[in-house]
Amino acid sequence: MNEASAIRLCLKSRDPRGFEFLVQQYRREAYYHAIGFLNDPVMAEDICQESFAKAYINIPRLESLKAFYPWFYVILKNSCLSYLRSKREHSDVIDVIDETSDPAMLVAGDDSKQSVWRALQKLKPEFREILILKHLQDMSYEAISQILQIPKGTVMSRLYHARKGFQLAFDKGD
Amino acid sequence: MEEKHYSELLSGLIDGELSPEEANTVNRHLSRSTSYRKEYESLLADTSKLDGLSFREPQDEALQGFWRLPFSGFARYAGMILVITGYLLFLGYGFFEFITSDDEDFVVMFAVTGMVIGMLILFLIALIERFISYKTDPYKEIER
Repeated sequence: MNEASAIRLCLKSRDPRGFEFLVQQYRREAYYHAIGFLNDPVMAEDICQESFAKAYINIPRLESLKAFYPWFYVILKNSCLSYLRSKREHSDVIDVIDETSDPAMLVAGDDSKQSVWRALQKLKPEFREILILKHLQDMSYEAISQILQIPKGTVMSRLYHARKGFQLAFDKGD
Repeated sequence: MEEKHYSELLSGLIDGELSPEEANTVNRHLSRSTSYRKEYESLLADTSKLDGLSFREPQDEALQGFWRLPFSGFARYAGMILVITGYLLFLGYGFFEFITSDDEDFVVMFAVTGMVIGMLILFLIALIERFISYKTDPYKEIER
């Protein structure tokens, strides 16, 4: 089975085997992207599970789908952002212990890598998102532009501003 | 070309994503402007910090848990609701028969009455316990 035939199975015959194939193809990538937004491995697992369930329910409603992941990424990103919004709303009402996960649990490498991760966490979500796509996922501008649904020129410009933001955050962190 | 646009092109140069014409333009500007060159070098240094970053591998069990057919959850709830509804209907019917019929077997009447009263007692106890624990819960304001 390949991605095109898996998508066909989902759209035409609502066959769960097609969706299962897509989940297996993209679950790791989805988990890393969720971690990038949430900085919490347990929450990232929950949000991934929830997003795949939402995608499974909604995929048969589509008339056609060229590539699964850019479409799924919108669902995943919205789920992550709505979780973060609700967390922020509740943190106004009650005392919340800082739940930011230990970077050592999320990123491989020594202390310097963990400082880099901490600096990334200080950035706006859209900057953190694009830096993760570029540097941790090693994606080309073309692939990033498809996933984020923005022109390639905007990818370059956003990456520039994200890197400038990272410079500032990293220097402050040190 | 505006200075701001030149700066943004630096990202493309670092990532090797510029067209040959754009790369030539940026390289020419780099050879002319010291401040532009400095910006390029500092951006390059910080980008290299990001390059070595990688996530820890998630556990296989975690990844496998991402996919459970929503259908299985639905089927479980549907099954539970059908069993409970059927049981309650059966009890209700038995109780109705018990009240309206004079010629039912005494054992059947006794069994049905026992089941109905037992259900009511258990339901009442569960309700009272939930009410007490809600009243005394110090964390009730916190959304779980």
